[in-house]
Amino acid sequence: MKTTYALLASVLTFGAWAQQNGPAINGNIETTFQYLNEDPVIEATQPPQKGLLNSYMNVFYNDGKFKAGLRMESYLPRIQGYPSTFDGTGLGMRYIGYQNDFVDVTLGSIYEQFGNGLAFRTYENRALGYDNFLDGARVIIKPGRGLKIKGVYGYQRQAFLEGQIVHGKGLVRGLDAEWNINSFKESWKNKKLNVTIGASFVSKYQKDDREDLILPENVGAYGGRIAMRYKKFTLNGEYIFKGQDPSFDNSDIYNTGHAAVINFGYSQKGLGIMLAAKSVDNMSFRSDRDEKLQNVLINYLPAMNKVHSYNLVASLYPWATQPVGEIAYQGEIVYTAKKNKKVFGKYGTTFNANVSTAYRPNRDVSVYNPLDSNGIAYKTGVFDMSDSLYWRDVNFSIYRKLNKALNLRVSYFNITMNNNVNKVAAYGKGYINVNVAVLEVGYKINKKHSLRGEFQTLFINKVEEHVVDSYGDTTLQSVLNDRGNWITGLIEYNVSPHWFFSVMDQINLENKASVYSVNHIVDPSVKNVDIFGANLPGVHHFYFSVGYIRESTRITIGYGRQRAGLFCVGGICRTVPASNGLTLSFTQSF
Amino acid sequence: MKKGIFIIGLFAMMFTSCDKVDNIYPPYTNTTDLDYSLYPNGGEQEYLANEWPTFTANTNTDRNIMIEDYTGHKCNNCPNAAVVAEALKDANPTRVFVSSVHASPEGLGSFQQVDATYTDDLTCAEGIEYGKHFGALEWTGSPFWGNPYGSVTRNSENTGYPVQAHNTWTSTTTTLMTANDLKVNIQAATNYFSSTRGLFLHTELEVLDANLTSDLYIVAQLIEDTLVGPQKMQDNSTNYTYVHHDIFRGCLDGRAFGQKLDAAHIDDAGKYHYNYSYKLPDQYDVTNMHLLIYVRDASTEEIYQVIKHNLE
Repeated sequence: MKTTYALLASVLTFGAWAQQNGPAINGNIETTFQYLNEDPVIEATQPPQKGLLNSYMNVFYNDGKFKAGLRMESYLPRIQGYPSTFDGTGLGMRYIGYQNDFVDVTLGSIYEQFGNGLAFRTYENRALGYDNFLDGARVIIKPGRGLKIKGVYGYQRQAFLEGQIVHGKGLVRGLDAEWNINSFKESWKNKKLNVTIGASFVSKYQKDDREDLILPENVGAYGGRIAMRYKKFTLNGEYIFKGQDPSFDNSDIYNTGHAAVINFGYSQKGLGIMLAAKSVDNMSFRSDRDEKLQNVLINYLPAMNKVHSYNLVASLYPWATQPVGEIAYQGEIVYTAKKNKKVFGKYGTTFNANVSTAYRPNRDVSVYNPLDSNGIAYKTGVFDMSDSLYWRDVNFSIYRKLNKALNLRVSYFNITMNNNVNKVAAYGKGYINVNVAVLEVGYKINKKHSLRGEFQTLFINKVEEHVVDSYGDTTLQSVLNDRGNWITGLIEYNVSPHWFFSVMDQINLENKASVYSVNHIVDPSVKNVDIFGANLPGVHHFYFSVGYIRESTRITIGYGRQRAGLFCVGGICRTVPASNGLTLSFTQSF
Repeated sequence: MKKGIFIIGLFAMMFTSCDKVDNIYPPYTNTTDLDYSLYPNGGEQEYLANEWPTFTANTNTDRNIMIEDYTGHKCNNCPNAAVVAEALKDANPTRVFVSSVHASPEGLGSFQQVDATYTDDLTCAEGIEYGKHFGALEWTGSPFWGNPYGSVTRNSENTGYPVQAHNTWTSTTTTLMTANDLKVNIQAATNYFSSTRGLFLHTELEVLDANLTSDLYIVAQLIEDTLVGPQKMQDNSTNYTYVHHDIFRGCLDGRAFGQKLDAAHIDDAGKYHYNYSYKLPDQYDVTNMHLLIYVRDASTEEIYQVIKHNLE
């Protein structure tokens, strides 16, 4: 611990000296405090400490050739829903490095990505509670003519416990080469066709600690990629192959794995088109074969579905990437029509349509013989798709600015999700199908004052459900899937540039008919009241928030109920349990 | 050119660091390294010479039944299920055994948590694993949504899943006992040394059914016979003198799902030996404990046989 604080003091002292002498120091601070109440209506629990605190501070130093950075983190204890791998106060990230035009060397905590990340990506997402940096060394060499070579070596951050970084069991080694062909010759640099190619190799080592199996101790993943740009078109693709990697995720099978992505894009003024495809099988790649959830993932499999922002769409039924296998497609078109003022208005109208799907890979299990000793469970191929639907999202929105003060956005979402595969809804059964409609209105009162409102509805399918009563008797009922239907209302009031106020209510309408209620709200002593003590129809989740912004400082206070849901970023999700209480947050950049 | 050769060389070097396994099974061993420091009268050689048991032919012809009761001390409906389990055990004391697992589908649920009133922690890590594994949160479609729930030797015929509600435990038990389809036999011997609180368990597993093609796992559970402590009752009152029965306290080797006998090594009528050493924690009275030793099918989860064995 002494060493930690000595390092912190020396970096800060050096930083203070450096700030006076030119080099840049920047960073940010964020603190979130929660005081939570017990609320049996929404199954929110009060932690024994009642108060919870997440804090961190990043400090980055740069003088062009020398660089250093660190992050102090504090979880006393962590806020609700944050992974249990965050605990205590201490130095959670630190690095030093040197770079010039030819070489870039970093020792310490490494964040890096090869290509699309299919073979290797270490990154941090504070909101998600995700941090898998590589603790070791990275060297980047730029020999010239568009060539860049990266090498990484180290152990991953698996957890932060009692203020200490805890490493994963496996050693990770990686090498990546990328070459922008246009940079090879001066005369090629201005060509309309721009091409970059690359190749990656990543290997992990973990000791074979099983008595009953012979495990591969060195597991490699390798492949290549190409990215092209021609005028308004872009096309890129990557393919990664992974060797035998029996693990908790794949139930100790000895199949090899693959991941492939293809992205196509076209954009011009007023029009954007995007098409994408992904094929993944047995591609969970961790530096500890026994780990699960989001721990020590070496690679990153990008989500192939739109990230929604409206809360009923974004956090009730989001799709999480399936590293064990999925074939996914996505298409999106954005078009702004302006030519016909009578139809599309003075400011034009923007149309957005998006479709994404994911299917189970087709797996030929006839090759599997339980008495065989090769451990191969099935056979499949790249983009070899079955008809078993995992996910489908069809959505569109229309945005129109009616006049200088008023704008409208109407959106519709139809989502079908296989809850048996992507276990998002604890009480959901089989396929969940929801129709969500959203009306968003923005109104600018004057230069300083503006209003924004949202009205959202979510209607869910019905399922046949065996309901067991307290005497063990079972009856078959047709009930709304998961937690039933919802509506949400939100009003935001902004006083520029410092203040904002918002009030939101999310209402679980069908609580009495849902599977959730039938099976779980059975305690007669629990009264269905909202935070004001009123017994309104449905389960209400009122939430109030006030924020103050001054330059790079932001203070937010929120109070009320927050329903359980999933918070997802890029296909990586964490469960956020229901809560009732006060949340204070403070952010500062410098 | 030199740079190209250098890069190709680097990649080639790394490619060679991939392992390929053609035969995934190591040379077969069916014993566990034992902790002979728990043997007060010498070391390994002395134990082998003086204490190691020799099994005779297993003449048992009955398939025994294990009732798993997923319960919680704050679950007001759970005593109803416990009554069913105890009645089955009392009616068939040599063939029906109970393991009361304090766990819910989310593992440690609100029914199992301790607080100022319900101070006894009746959970264990392996029980939490069972709850999660068989519960609907992890096992797609499982009807195990809340407590009380359970299983009858994890037989799936009733619900399509290896769990079922307590209102069907009696009929399933009767059906299975009548069918008496014994696929695997188990016998066991123990040596307990009070001075070190050291327990040595020796088991012999005999595969009787030549058609078994799945991996089998042998599990040794430590069970506390009775404990008096608070229990929430159906009327939401608290019974402070409730007698908890057959509390699952953990597995001797810490492996919730047991040690593996892989399918590739199962021979017809083969006999396999699994041995354990275990230090009984100070909190337990050896006379109030017993073992449940069972064999499960890795594919179906069904428990083919279970035996009860005292520690002493």
